[in-house]
Amino acid sequence: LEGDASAPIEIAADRLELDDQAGTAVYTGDVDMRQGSMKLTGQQVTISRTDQGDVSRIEATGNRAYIEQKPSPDAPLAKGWGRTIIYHTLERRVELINQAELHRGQDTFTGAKVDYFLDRRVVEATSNGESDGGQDQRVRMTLTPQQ
Amino acid sequence: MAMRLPRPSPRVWLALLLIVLGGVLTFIEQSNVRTPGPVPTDSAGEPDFYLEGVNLTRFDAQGRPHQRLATPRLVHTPHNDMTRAETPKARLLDNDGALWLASGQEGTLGADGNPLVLRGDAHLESPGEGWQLDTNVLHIDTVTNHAWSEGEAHITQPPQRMRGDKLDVWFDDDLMRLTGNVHGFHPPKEQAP
Repeated sequence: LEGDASAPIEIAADRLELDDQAGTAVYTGDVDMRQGSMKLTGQQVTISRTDQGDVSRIEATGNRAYIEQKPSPDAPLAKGWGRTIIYHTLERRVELINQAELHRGQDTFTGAKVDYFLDRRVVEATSNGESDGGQDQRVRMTLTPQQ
Repeated sequence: MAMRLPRPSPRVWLALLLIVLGGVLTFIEQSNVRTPGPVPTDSAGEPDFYLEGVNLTRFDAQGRPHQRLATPRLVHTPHNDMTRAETPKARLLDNDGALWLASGQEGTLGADGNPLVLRGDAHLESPGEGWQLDTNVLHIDTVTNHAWSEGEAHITQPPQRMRGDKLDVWFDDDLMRLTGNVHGFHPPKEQAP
C-alpha cells in the first residue's frame, strides 16, 4: 500500500543479534516482520542500514521464507515464497530466490529467481539459478485472462 | 543622691571582647566538622573499611586508565572480599578505545574487583554509537569485557528500539544479543518520535 514504505518495521523473534561493526540486526527463530501491509516471515531475518541509519535491505531465509503485501486497497494480496527473500527497501523491489514462487491475483510465477517491483507491480522471472538438490527451477507462468 | 555603677576599665572591655571572639570562633569551628556516616552493619556483614567520595581507576597492561568507578560511598566486607558501592558510575574502554558508561542504584565488586554487578535501574550506554541498554540487574565481567542481564532488557538506538528476556553485550566485538520473546521497532529515520 501507499504508506508501506514509510511505515515503521515491527518484528518479533526468538533472538536478536546487533552487530554494530556490520551495521546489521539479525533476528532468528520464528521471525515475523510487519511493515504497513507487508508481512515477512522466515527462520532468520537480517536488517541492514545505510551509514545514515536508514533501513536499506531486509533479507529473510527459511524453508521457505514468505512475503505478502497488498498492492492497493482494492487489489488482492500479492504472496511470494523463496528459500531466500531480499527486500530492497530503497528500490521497493523484492527478490525471491531459490524455489521462488509469486502469486499476484490469479497469476502465478515460479522459477529459480523472481523479481517483483512493488510500485510498478512488474514481475521478472529467471530460471538459471543453481537449484539445490537438482530440483528443476525453470520459469513457469500462469496468467489468467481478465473476465 | 543617685547610686552610680563604676565605669568598667578598658582592660575589662578587652577581656569581654576576647571572650566573645573565642565563642564565635568555636561556633564556626564546630559547624565545619562532618560527622562520619553510620557504620553499615547489615546482612552483608561487618565492613573492615568504608570510603566516601571515591574514584577508582584501573590501568591496563599498556598503562592506559581503561576502567573507572566513581561512587559517593564504598564499603568493603572482608569475609567475602566484596565491595559495595552506592549509585556507582563506571567508565569502561573497550579494546578499540570506545567508551562505555554504566550506572545503577547499587553496585558490588567481587573478589579482586570483578565482576561488577549493577542493581536497580542498571543502565549501559555507548555515547559514540548512541546505544542505550536498560535492565534491572547487569553483570559486567571487567576482564573479558562481557556484560549480561538476568532478566528483561531494552536496547535503544533512537529511533529504533528492541526488547528481550535476556541481554548479552561483548564490548570488544561491538556485539549485542537479546534472547527470548524479542520484539523490535525500526521506524524510518525521519519518523523519529
